[in-house]
Amino acid sequence: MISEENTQKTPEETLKEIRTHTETIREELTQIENLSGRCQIPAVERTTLQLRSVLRTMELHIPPCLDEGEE
Amino acid sequence: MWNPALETMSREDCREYQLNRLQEQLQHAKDNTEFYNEKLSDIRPENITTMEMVTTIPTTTKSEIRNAQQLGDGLYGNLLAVDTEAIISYHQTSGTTGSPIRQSDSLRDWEWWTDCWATVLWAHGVRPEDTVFFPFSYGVFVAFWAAHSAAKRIGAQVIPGGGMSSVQRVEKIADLNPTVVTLTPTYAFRLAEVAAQEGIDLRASAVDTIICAGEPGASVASTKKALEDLWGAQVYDHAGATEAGAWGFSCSSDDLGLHVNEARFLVEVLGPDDEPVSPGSLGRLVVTPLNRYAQPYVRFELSDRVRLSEKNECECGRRYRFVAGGVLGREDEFKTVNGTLLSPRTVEDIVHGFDGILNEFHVQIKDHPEKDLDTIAIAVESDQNHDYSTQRISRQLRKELRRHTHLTFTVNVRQSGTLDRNTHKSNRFSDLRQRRAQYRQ
Repeated sequence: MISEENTQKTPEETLKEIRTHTETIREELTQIENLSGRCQIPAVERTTLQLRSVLRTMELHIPPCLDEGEE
Repeated sequence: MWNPALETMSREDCREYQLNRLQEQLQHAKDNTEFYNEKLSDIRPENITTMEMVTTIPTTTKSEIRNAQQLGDGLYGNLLAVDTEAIISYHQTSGTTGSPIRQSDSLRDWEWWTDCWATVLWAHGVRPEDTVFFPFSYGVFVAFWAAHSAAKRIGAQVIPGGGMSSVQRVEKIADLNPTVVTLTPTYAFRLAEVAAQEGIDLRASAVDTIICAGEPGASVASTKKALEDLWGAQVYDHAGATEAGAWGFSCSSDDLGLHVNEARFLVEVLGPDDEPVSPGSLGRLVVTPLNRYAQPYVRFELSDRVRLSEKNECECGRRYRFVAGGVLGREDEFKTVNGTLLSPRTVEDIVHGFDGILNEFHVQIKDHPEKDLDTIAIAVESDQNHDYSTQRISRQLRKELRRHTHLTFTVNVRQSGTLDRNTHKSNRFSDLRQRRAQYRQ
């Protein structure tokens, strides 16, 4: 769902926000991976692997940030 | 275990978990499908807090589902609990007992299917280093697609074996060295026969695990042993249905039978009065999948005959209840012959444990030409590796069948390879009676 606030942002600002959320998911996933290693439930460990794979797939579709010293 | 936290729950925790899930499932089905909105109009999910109260919920039959699919618009009639855009896959039942039932699944359902089958495969020893071969054209049948998805979830390498002849499949086994093969018991026998004809020694292959689905054979002692001898591999059983899901699986213990995946399914065994039977008693299976979302089922009548074990714990460590001997047959497969109830499985157990004959057999039940009686005949094939005479096989098999079934069979012993082979599910019993049709069930 596109909120009213988001419709007022430029496409680049929106993409930047998506990147931030994606980074948050990646950090949360790392936390779950660390914890699932401790409880040793294969069902959870294998699912986190798949989540990371899905996240990587999503990141493939998000254009890279070009405004911080990159060409 | 694939999920030790769930598979070793105490009985009390498991019951609480199941009842909570059941309440959610009832509410979901009531709120989102026309079919259950009407059928469960008198049921208040929040009041279903004990197993005794579960029996107040009406059961759902296959014919009700079939009828509901003819109502309303779209492929799934009044059964759909989600918008059609949420559906990601179509499958259907095999239609053994009538027209096929259409089954929709959302992405969420597919995760559930995958987890249920991963529980089965992990219990059967499948690990990331394994290669799993599916020698079956999956088509519109869900089980092998779900097993395929689960093998990948586990991290194993998967070889899809659809669109190949039996010869090509045994060649693939020799070439690609799969460690696990998943198929019906009937087809496991067929592939073993084809391998022998092609000079491929399955016992010397890399296959160390056979996972059977679609038929109850892998929990029949003699069938399991015959397959293990032919393949030189450990044979495991699994039970499921397109509507209900993959609800049962065997484990590493020596007891023949199936654990119920109680974290995902509420399984009841009911007697003729629709009340639960005590462990050890024969009853019919009623299953509620607890996480089925797009096309939910409540207390679905599977028509399978089962017997819950009296044991509370298994040597494998699971605390899930155990169905002793697995699925003992479908209600409509049991035949009354001359007033005696005949279980096809009893005949299978005798034939597959009998020396001097091959594993294929056909049974025909007919009207007696003159008397008001039934006749029953079995055709078997002699094994050329034994030098038993036809007369000896006929006499001893007839005696053995009579001892276990209390019926007198006519035994026809034929040369090997003369009976028709079933490629996937077996159809070894033909009831050709006209006069005494009332006794068929």
